[in-house]
Amino acid sequence: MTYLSGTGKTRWIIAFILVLTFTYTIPAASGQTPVSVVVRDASTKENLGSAQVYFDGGYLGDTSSSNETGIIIIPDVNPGTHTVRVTRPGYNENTTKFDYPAETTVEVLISKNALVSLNPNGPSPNAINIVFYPSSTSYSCTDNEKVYAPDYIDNETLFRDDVLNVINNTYLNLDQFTSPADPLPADYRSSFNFYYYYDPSSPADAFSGCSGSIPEGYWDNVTFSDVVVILYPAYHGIYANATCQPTGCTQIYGPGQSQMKAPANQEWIVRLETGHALFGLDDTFCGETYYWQNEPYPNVWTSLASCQSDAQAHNRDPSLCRQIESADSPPSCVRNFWQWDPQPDVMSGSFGGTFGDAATQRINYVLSQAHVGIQAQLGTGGPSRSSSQPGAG
Amino acid sequence: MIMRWIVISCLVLILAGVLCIPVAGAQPLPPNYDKILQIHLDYQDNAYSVSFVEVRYGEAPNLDILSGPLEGTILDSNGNVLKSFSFQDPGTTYGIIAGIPGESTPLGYTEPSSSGEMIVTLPYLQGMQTFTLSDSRTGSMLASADLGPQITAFCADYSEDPDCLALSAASAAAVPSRSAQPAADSTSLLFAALFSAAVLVAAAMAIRTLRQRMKKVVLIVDDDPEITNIVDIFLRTKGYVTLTAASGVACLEILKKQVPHVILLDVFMTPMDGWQTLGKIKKNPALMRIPVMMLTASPISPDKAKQYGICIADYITKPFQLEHLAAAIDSVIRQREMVRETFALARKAGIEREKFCELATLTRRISVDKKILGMLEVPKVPVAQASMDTLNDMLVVDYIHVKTDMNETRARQLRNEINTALKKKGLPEVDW
Repeated sequence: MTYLSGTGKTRWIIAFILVLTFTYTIPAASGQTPVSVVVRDASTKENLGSAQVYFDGGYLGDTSSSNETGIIIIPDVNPGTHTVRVTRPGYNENTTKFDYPAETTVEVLISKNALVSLNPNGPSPNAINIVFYPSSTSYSCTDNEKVYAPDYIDNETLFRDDVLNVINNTYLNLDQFTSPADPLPADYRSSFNFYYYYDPSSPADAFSGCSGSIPEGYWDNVTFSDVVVILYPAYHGIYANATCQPTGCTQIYGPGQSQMKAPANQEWIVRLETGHALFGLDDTFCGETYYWQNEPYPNVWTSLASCQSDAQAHNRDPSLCRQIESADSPPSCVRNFWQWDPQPDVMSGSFGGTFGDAATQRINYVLSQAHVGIQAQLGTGGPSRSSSQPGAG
Repeated sequence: MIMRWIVISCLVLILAGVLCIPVAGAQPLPPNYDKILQIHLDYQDNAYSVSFVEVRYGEAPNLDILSGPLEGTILDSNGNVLKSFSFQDPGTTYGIIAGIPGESTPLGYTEPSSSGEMIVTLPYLQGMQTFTLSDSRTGSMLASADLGPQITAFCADYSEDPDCLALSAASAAAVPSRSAQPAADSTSLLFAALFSAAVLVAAAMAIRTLRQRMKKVVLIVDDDPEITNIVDIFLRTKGYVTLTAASGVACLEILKKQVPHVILLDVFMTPMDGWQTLGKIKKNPALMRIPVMMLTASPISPDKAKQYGICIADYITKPFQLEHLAAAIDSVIRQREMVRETFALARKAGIEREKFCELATLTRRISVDKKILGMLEVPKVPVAQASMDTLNDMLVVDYIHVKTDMNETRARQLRNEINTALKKKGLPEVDW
């Protein structure tokens, strides 16, 4: 007890030290066995650093912070059932439940994510997420049959190159295919996050149903895609009649479940299907397709009067409003819907067409709804395996 | 002097320890707590029903870029709108068969989609309580879901998630603090007593409401007040909550405000008879899935059987024994519950929703058709001697027989396929 004989100041300092020391030693002295969380790669079984670990939903830390890579300790655990959630960029997140004190070591296996971000600086929060998915099938319209097309499944580089080509020639030069009367914002390119999803063991089938089919696992892993584009290498043969399968198609199954298919070698079809899948535009050719007055800023109206009224409201010539009908005379196809955009119009399936004033107005509306995030430029760096969540990479 | 060095050394060590904590906990990425809510809806002929709701970690699509005639709304517990968005009908299809560029016009291609599953993925919002789906073209509400149970279930697993902590804090704040100062005078005591009484009454009312919710609601529609009263009293003694209507019009009015589990519908009423009322119910997407049991003093005629057979859940002829009526209601409700329970298992076994729904529909159809066949009164005369009306009735009976046989064959096939899949996963098989 000699220290008690020191000055009053020293006594206070010692007391302070004791309090701090006591505070630090409480957990160690509590007698509980801590829980070790081991994070491993599901296929290689290697311990993984830089994995973020959440205990019962609260952030615990990352697996690089401990002395041993891939392991993190949970010091104080109450008896009962608990959850450990693990996330890591480039991997699918996983949650494991464990019972304490029966289990004091928890192994969490996480598998690599097949989603690859094409934005070198990572995805921007709130931008429009477009995911490309390779198809292992194509179609021969000459033979009227679906054909196996392993081009992309055997060659990720080829698929990636085709995806980049489509992106550069459709989405990133959208200003060249829209009306100068209503120019797109200068930074419209930063409204998009582009990804591709590459799992050769689980390809899409572009010719199962109108817009193709995507394996169920995709929707579990990627919940945020605004549009999924099933890309197939090329459509074979020249069509003769409606017995052929659709070259391009868009189907909408609910918010976040908008999917389209298109051949990589016909960019105008990518443009047209994007018009449906992303911008909500209607077809303007006459045929068996889905028409509705796609408010707000429609490109198709249910009456001549509403087309003219809309044209007047937006400084367009109302006299250009016309019924959707085929070009032959007398028209063999007539629909009770009206359009304004002149030919050649992308949405009428015109090769070499552009989006007219009405369609451009709607495109601008959709872009304005997406919040512009980080500037993204393609072609300045390689792709990066993405976290399953945009903005997290 | 020694003491000073000890103190200094300790301080240095402690400081180093304190500094080490943030270094060790350095985070290359900020924690990500983004969550989504996924609502699975089955749709058929513009009728929607919520089949599954889930809260999970993940990122939602950008709802702001969507538009269309369907409107989704997220409400808080006070009915305030937290988020609304619009989107297209599920199954909307735009296909194109391309021609030769520059030479021929493309062909359009579309597919009808009268039924399927739609998944609505939404961002998790603090305070969200209810999801509603409505149709802006008709103004009708198509479906709604109480999100509370799923959020509670999620927070049971992730109690330390900031949103769950906020939820707990809000709940705790709503409950009066137990550490509040005790009342010091008679006014405070009186206030405390009144407050406690109010809490007790509120709790009792909540329990009563909960119990009522757990009970099944039966709407009795009959223009004979005597029958309505007898059935009403009897069903209440059996634990049902009952609603009564004295006409088809009154029935439709009630249905605007409340959706029962079962409707007992008398056939002979004026000015709108039971069949007309049934027709209106089945045309309304929000009501078409309610099972309707027809009550009548006369047997069903072949033409009504053909016209409405597919719409009814059962056909009860008067006079009936009350116990038999209750058993029939139980049977209809139990079958729906069994289907719902098995559906959850079927999802686990990866069985296609369409296949499962087809079996459920066929099972009900077969049961009703068999009952109708047993009631149809068609004179047994040689075809050559039959009048046109009799001939027509005979054809209807034959038609229902053939259809029932076909349905039974198909149902057997589906049941086998589904049970094989369930068995593989070690799940209980379908026994209905």
